[in-house]
Parts: sequence; C-alpha cells; structure tokens
Amino acid sequence: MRPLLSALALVVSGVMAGLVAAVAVKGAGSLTSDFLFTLPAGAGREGGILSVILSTLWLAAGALAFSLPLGVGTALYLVEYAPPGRIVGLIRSLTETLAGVPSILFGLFGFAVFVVRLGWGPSLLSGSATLAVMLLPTVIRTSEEAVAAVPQELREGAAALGAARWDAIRRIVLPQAAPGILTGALLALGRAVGETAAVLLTAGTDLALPRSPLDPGRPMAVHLYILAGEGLSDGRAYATALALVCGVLFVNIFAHLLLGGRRVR
Amino acid sequence: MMRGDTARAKLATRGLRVYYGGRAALRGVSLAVPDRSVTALIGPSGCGKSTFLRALNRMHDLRHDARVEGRILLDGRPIDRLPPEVLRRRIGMLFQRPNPFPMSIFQNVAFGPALLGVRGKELERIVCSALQRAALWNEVKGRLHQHAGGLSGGQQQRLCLARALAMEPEVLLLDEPCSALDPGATEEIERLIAELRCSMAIVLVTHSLEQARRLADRVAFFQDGRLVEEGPAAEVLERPQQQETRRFLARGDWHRTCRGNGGSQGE
Repeated sequence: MRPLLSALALVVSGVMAGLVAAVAVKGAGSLTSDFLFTLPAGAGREGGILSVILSTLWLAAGALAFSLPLGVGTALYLVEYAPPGRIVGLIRSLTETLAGVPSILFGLFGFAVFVVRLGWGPSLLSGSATLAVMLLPTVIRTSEEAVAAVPQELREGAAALGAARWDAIRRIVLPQAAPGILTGALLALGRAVGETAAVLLTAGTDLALPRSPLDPGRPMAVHLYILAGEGLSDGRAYATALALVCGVLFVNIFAHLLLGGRRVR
Repeated sequence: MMRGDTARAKLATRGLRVYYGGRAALRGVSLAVPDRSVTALIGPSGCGKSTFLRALNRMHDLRHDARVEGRILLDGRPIDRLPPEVLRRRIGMLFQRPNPFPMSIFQNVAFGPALLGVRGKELERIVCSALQRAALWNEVKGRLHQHAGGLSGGQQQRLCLARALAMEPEVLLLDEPCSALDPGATEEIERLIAELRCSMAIVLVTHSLEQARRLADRVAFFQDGRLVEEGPAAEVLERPQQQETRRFLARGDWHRTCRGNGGSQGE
C-alpha cells in the first residue's frame, strides 16, 4: 500500500507545483514592480494593478473586521455561556449549512441586502460585509475549537480565586485560544483575498483608486476573471494571478511563522 | 453532629443534595466544619466527597448539568446571599492536579489580588508573602518572571497554594491535593497544611487513610452520597461507631481502590 500512497501524494504535490509553475511561467514576464505599483489603464489592457491590490486588501481587512468580533463572540457564547441544548445545536447546524453554501449565493444575498436594501451600493463596504458573512462559519468553527481546547482546569482555577466568568475569559481563555483564533482568521483572510463570486456582485468592478469604504473597487480575483474572460490581456491576467498566488502564499507563510510552526489546518 | 456545633461552625451544610443531570451524587449531607482545624473527608471512590467539597465554594455553578439543594452556611449565613465571586475569595481551593495559569510565577500569584485592583508595591508585597507562606519563595525568588510551566509538579502545587493564600481565604478546600505528587512533594504539602491549620478552616478530601491520620482533627466518612459518620479523627479512625465505617477501614485494598479518580469531577 505504501508505494501506491506515496505515489498518490507525489501526484498531488505535482499538480500543486505544476499549477503554480504554469502561472509563474506565464505571469513572471509581466510581473514587475511597475506593474504592481501603477494604476491600471485602458480597462486593464495597460498599466498596472495598484488599485486592484488596494481594493483587495481593503476588502479582506474589512471582512475580518466584521467577522472576527462576530465570530469570536459567537464562539465564546457557544463554549462558555450557552447551556447545551437546542439553541447551541441550532446555531451549530446553521453555521455548518452556511459553510456549504456556494459563494455566489453569498454574492446574491449581499447584493440584495447590502447593495440594494441598505443602499451601500456596489462598494468596498458591501463587499466586506458580504465576505464577512461568508467567512463567519470558518471563524466561528476555528475559534470554537480553540476556545474549547483551553483546559477546564484553568477556568476552575480562575473561578476558585473569585474571578467572574468574563474575567476568566479575558485573562485566561482568550490569551490561550489566541493562536488558534489567529489561525482561523488567517485561513479566512486567505479565502477573502482569493474570493471572486461573493464580491463580483457587491464590490463593483471599478478600476479607480478607492478613496472611501463607500467607493466601489475591483479585487484581484475579479480583475483576473474579467481580463481573462474578455480576452483583454493574457499576460496581465497571468501576472495578476501570480501576484494573487504570492499574496495567499505570503499569508500562509506568515501564519506559520506567527504560530511558531504550529500546524495550520 | 449537634445543633450547637453547627451554629459555631465556620462552615456548615444542612441537607445538602447534589444532582448531575438526574443522578443524585449527594443525598442530604449535614456537616459542620470548625474553624482552625483540618476536617478530612474519606470514603470510597464515587462516594460524593469531592462533590461535597465543590458545593462549598459553588464550583457546581460552572456546570450546566449540576443542581445543588440544601443549605450551606458560612459563619452562620447562607452562602447563596453572597455573589459567587465574593464567596470564592473567602473560600480558597486547591485541585487534584496542579493547574497553574500559563503565565509567569508572579502573575499566577498576583492573579486574584490584581482582579481586585491591587497594583504596584502592594501587589509585590502580597505575592512575596504568599510565596513565603507556601514555602516556595526561596526556590523561585530569582525567577519570578519565568513561566510557571517550568516548575516541578510539587512546586506547581505549592504555587497554586500561594495563589489561593494571596486572597487571604478564611477557608481552604483541598481536593486530593497530593494525588499527582511524589512522596517528597506530598510531605512538603502536608507540612504546609499542618501549619495553615492554625489560621483557617481546612477541608481535605483524601484517598490516603495515612494522610487523614497525620493531618485530620476531624474525619467524615462518606459512602454512596451520604455522610455515614463523623467526629474527632481519633474516634472515627480508631473506634468507628458505624458498621460501614468499620468495614471500610478494615478493607486491606482500600488504598488501591481509592487511588484518586483521575481528575474527573463527577465523584
């Protein structure tokens, strides 16, 4: 069995390496610092992708800013406060369902709610909010696991000293769970950076430099989709793809370094 | 125990019952704990002695499936009139396995006082004095800001004791505090318990009859969630009145069958 399984593992690694290599070969020629740091021109046919990169970063940061407090708060409620029973079961099955929903549905939901109903228009704010909803299951699940992994003995030790539940959470549980929560946040960040469908309908496709959260912006994955789909510039599409891959890779490496080699799921 | 003793007791229970889910773990226990003495709780595994101990500082509040009935009096006043946080500041606790917080030695001992807003020199004084009372000061004074995880098991348990003493508790609850320690560390902890007896009420759950002999002023024997017999240590251990107590004390394999309960809290 062992040779077969190692062969399988090798094939998987090969596919991964091939994918990155293909993007790298086709994109490396056009990926220059000029390309990264100038604004696009001619609908993306010319110029660089500065505004696209910035839109991506804003969207990802905004998505985390929404989903982290919400997700960690929910996780704390589920683990530390909620009596086991129907409500917890309901929240768990809802988040699990949410995790299985195709991202274009989140896009549609975000369009209906944030863009139209709340009147935020196609904007970084709408896009971030939509991404945040999409990331919530990941953030809740990883935070929940991290919080639940904190030994009960530590909570009891804190309680026995007269610490209120929230004191124990603030001073013992959260610091202990922080690496796990951070892992989840970085996984979520990686997804947010690479997401296309959820932001296609909500963040807009404007190539101008966004100046406020209510301005529209075009994230990298959407830029790539439009460049390739409309045959505007293959070279620039691949260069954007390479930049995107590098970005996601960077986030993951950063996660590993930050967690001191702790395993990232 | 007579009514008059209950009135003078530091801590007393009346008809204390504890249920886990639907299962009764404690079936009506009335016991008085006098001040400045060691009351040892003995009995077979699963007899309810840890459950009884945990009811005294309301640790069962942390579990959703535990329900407590009956009265617990501290200095003659029902403990449920106090917020649990205030109660637990007055009643310290040491657990089966040392559970230092994942922070420095200093921060561990400072944890409780810092919650009350104590800072600076005053906090340092409290930490130093608590570590001295727990006989740990000489071993750690040069490395107060190192991680508590670097200490040995015995040192960790004394750190937890120092952490509890920093709150100046009136009562100390010890839940098999030596069950995870080697003989040397056990001896050290027992020496400390004997010292602390002069200044507070101590309730000690122990699986070791020898330990009860060495430390206890009074002994209470639990079985099947009931208090079978209690009284001065010499009387209960040497001249037990009840058949069950006699049988329990006579059993040769007692020590082995009651070798802790692996840290589970459901005893």
